[in-house]
Amino acid sequence: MDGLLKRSLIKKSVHRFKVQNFKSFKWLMLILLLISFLLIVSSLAMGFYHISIKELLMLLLYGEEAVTGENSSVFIIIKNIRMPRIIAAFTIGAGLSMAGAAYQGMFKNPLVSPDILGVSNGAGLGAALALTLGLSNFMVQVYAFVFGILVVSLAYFIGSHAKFGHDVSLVLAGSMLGALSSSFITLLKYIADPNDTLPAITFWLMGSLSKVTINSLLFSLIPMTLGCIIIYLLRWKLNLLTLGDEEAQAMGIDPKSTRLIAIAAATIISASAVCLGGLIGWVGLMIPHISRGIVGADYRRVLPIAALMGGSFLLLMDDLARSLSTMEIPLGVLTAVMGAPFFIVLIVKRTR
Amino acid sequence: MLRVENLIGGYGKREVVKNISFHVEKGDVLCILGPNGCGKSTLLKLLLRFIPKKSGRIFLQGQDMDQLHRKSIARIVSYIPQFDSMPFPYTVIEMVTMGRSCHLDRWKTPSKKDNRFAYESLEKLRISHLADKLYTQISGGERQLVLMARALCQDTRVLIMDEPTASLDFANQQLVMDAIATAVQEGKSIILTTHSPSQPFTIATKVLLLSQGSTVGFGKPLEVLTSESLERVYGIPMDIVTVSDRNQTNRNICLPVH
Repeated sequence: MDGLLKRSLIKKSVHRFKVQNFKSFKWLMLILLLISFLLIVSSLAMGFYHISIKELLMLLLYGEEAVTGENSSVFIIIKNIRMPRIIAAFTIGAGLSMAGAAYQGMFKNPLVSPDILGVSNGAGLGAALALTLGLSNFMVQVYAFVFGILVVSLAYFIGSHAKFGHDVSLVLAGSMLGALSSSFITLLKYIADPNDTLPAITFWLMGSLSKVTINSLLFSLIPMTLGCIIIYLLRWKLNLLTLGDEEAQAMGIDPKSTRLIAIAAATIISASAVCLGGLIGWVGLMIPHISRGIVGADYRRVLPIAALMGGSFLLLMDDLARSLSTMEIPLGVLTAVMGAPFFIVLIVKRTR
Repeated sequence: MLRVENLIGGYGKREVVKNISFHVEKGDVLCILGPNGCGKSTLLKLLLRFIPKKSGRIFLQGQDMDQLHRKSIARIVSYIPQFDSMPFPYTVIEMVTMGRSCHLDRWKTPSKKDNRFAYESLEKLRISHLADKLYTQISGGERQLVLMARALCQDTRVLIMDEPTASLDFANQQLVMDAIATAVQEGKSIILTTHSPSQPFTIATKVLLLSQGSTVGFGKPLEVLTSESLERVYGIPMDIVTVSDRNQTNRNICLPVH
């Protein structure tokens, strides 16, 4: 009798917990989706060239024919300039947040950012090299992507041949190669032409979405989406990786291959993000943290929340970057201005 | 259930475990006992295939472990580590549900059924009230019980525990002991390492006494643990004394002799 009563009580609590949890998560997702949508639409209306909400709605509802005649430039501005930039901001924010969340789990450290393995500095070196060589914008992007992947692959190769702790040596190798890349960047800046090449490199390294075009967007969008899908598919296994290799193994997961896939996916995301918008820091560190604070540590919930929040956050930052002053503020600077105080608060709060 | 034959293994060229053989049947509790550095932990790592063995054979339910995939091993043997700090704020129920992973198809996440199974595992150890608490905010004893519930949730025949009572206070040690008894009632076989030579007398059906990686004795606690064998292993004079508690139950305890 006693056992029966207990069991029914527990069943009830099971029921309540699940429904409550699932419902509130669904609501949260819905709210975040709504915010993201509103942000995207209002960002379309924002900018130097005034586009009224009415024109925008007409355009969204009826297509190109709605804005003919003297307003035909509206369509071109939306299609060629604002739309690519907004999509870029949103996907970079979402992608970096997912990559950051994945890296944090893999290395069992909530204070890890997506460029822990040197991807950003590697990509930066690629871009600086292409700019110094005077290559086209497209080639700058290709160089950045390839160099970013190259540096992480090299770090992984070195790490997997180390005799001691796999994780530690991987991170060490990554930061070593990252530092090496950044010193080469300094060298390139030193020899670059101060009239055009040097400002180009500097601006690129600060992170900006002002040069995003449809073509550059398409180049990055596909690998970035692919990486995000892979990380989302790994969401349950990422939970197990946070327990450490031995426990993951004992529960039937192969930690090495799982980590390799996750690193590959996160690196592709980061490299495509960097080659599209330059070095944009803090998002991948900050957003997963906030997400965990809201929905807990389970990657099944962290990943979608982080993606939506990261996308909205970076889009908002980019809106500020292009509207706060007449001169474009570098996006990387803005996220750092937001991120650094956040990090300080985090350090203080963690010691509670 | 689990049979080990002439197992040799270690790190690099060093052999830490030298030619060990033993077997565990259904309902057995095997205590692996020995001083620091005797190879207890290494033996567990070999049993769980965390490190490769040099030679010897391990059979799980009659199957050679070398022939089994990691996932298949995880369906037969679960591992209960010593509780440790956790950098991410998982809830207890999320922690326990992770035990279901070896039963999931590739790319799949736990279903409602798996979730229910996790709650039942908590209920078995009478810690359902912890379900929604954060694993990072419960006590060490509770964490150890949660890790045991996770192993029950993994639903394996064999549970391997690494010093489950180390760094726990007296009352919590007893709770873990009770949890082990519960698991045995469920028909599990348990292998655990310990530092306390008295512990096998209370819970174990078998003892494996190790010294410097070799077997000193394997068998029933009273047969293996004698003052001679313990003195040989620990290097200090030891006595086995029998005391009776208030219920007039006789209990054996190891005491160092001064």
